[in-house]
Amino acid sequence: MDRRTFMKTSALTAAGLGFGRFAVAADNNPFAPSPAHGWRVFEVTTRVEPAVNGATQVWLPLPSVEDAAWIRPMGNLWQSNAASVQDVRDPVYGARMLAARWDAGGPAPVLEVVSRFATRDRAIDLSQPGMVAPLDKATRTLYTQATEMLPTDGIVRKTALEITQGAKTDLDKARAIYEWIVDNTQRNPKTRGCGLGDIRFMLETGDLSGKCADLNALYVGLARAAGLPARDVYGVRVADSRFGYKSLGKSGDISKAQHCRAEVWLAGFGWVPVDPADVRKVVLEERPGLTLQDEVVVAARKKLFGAWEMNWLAYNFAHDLRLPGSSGAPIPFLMYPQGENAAGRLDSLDAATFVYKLSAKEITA
Amino acid sequence: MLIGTAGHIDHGKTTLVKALTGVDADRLPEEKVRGITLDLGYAYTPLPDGSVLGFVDMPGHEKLIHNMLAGVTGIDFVLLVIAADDGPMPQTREHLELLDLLGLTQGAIALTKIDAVSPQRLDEARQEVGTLIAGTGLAGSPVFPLSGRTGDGVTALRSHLKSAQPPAISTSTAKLSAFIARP
Repeated sequence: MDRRTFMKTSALTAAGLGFGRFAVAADNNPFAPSPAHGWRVFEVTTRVEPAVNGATQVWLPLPSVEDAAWIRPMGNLWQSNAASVQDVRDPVYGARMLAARWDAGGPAPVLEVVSRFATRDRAIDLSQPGMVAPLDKATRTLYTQATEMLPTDGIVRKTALEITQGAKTDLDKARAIYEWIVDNTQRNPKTRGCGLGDIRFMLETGDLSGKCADLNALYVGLARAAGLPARDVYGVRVADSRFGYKSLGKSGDISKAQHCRAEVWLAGFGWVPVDPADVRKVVLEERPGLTLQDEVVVAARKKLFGAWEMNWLAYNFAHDLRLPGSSGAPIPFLMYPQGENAAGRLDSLDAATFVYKLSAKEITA
Repeated sequence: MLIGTAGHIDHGKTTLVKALTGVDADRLPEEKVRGITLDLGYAYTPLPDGSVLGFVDMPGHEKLIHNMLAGVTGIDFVLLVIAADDGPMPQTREHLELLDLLGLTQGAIALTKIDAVSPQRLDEARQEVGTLIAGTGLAGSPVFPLSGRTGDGVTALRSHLKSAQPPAISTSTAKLSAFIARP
């Protein structure tokens, strides 16, 4: 075997087998998301069967994020005994959802959707700015403005200015907010679902604990308050982490694996993936007694500003959605199945009572 | 725009998708690196306006549940592949029946392998296709005779796909009469 063949074979083997827990990546970081790991295709099946109770409506998020560099939806197949099923798109954020309606006196409601998507890891080299088209004005406005749960004034702005004081560039500011979130928040295992993301309440009470929809929303709100376009990306985990982090993946039954991440826009880089909430998840869950000083945490912390492992489906970026056909209040985000019947809004955070089940599998050649 | 491909397994679907997506990928090596393999059911080609033509396998019958309405969303256009030498086969009819049940109406027929047949056989195949799609959601769809192997006719299909407009969102209201009677 000559040297060239050997190198080629080694590269193929590394790409083909993935990296185990103790494998060492180029920079010696055991947590090493990289687009070089290649594209993967997943199939997510969402099945809802709400109890019979008068006229019923259900809204399910569909994969709506499309970016040639890291995610491409591949279509959805739905089946149902509903009176009507529609693919609806939120006019502001482009979030797609499947809206189904059953009349009172009809059959026991069933709706199943199989969604396929292709994805690969993201990893932005933040030392190498490139030529990136500037963000258009409307998009910049949309992702720097306040939402119902993400005010950008008062204590949010004050905190953002304190954190970014002395930061010279947007990259410095974005990183400072990331480090501040990791240093000052905690993951709270008792928070229902992924949390509410009421960031003013969090800052005013000083209770900076919660889950991803709290901690990453805090990142987004603080970034916007500092003038940086930023957005929550709502989704669900679909596979185990290939880097051995059991806290950062879920395969098979993913009914409770919803997870939101965040992006911040930086000139020269475009949308940069971040996930400070997952650093706090590693601290709490990877193994007992971890602190920010443990190597397994340090490794994830280094990468989760600028990289995402794509064992996760991105649904949408939407805030404050009105569910079409619903008389109920707008929802802060669409990450869980939503429904309502004669008893009112169903509890989207309780899969067992709602009833819904999500499952995921990887499609391999 | 996302295009769902369907048709008999030996009718040249993979060769056709390679022909439809390969030219641009060769021209832009970095795009080729971005592309994913057909083995995973996805291929795409970037268009000059910045959009892409994506090709995915249509979901199969095995996914369907007895006595349910069914539909597809997120797939804008159907490409039914039929080889000119064989003409429609049982699997072609099965796929067409599925597309019909799913309410898909915007599509085209790729009549492949024209390099392997006589002009007379090609005419027969055209007629068979016309008869096949009459009365289905794809009735009246354009038919593109081509060869994925030689590239003949591929440009005409690609141009058609580029100019096809995705249907408006919110079109997938169930066809209430369409019940799937498969176990």
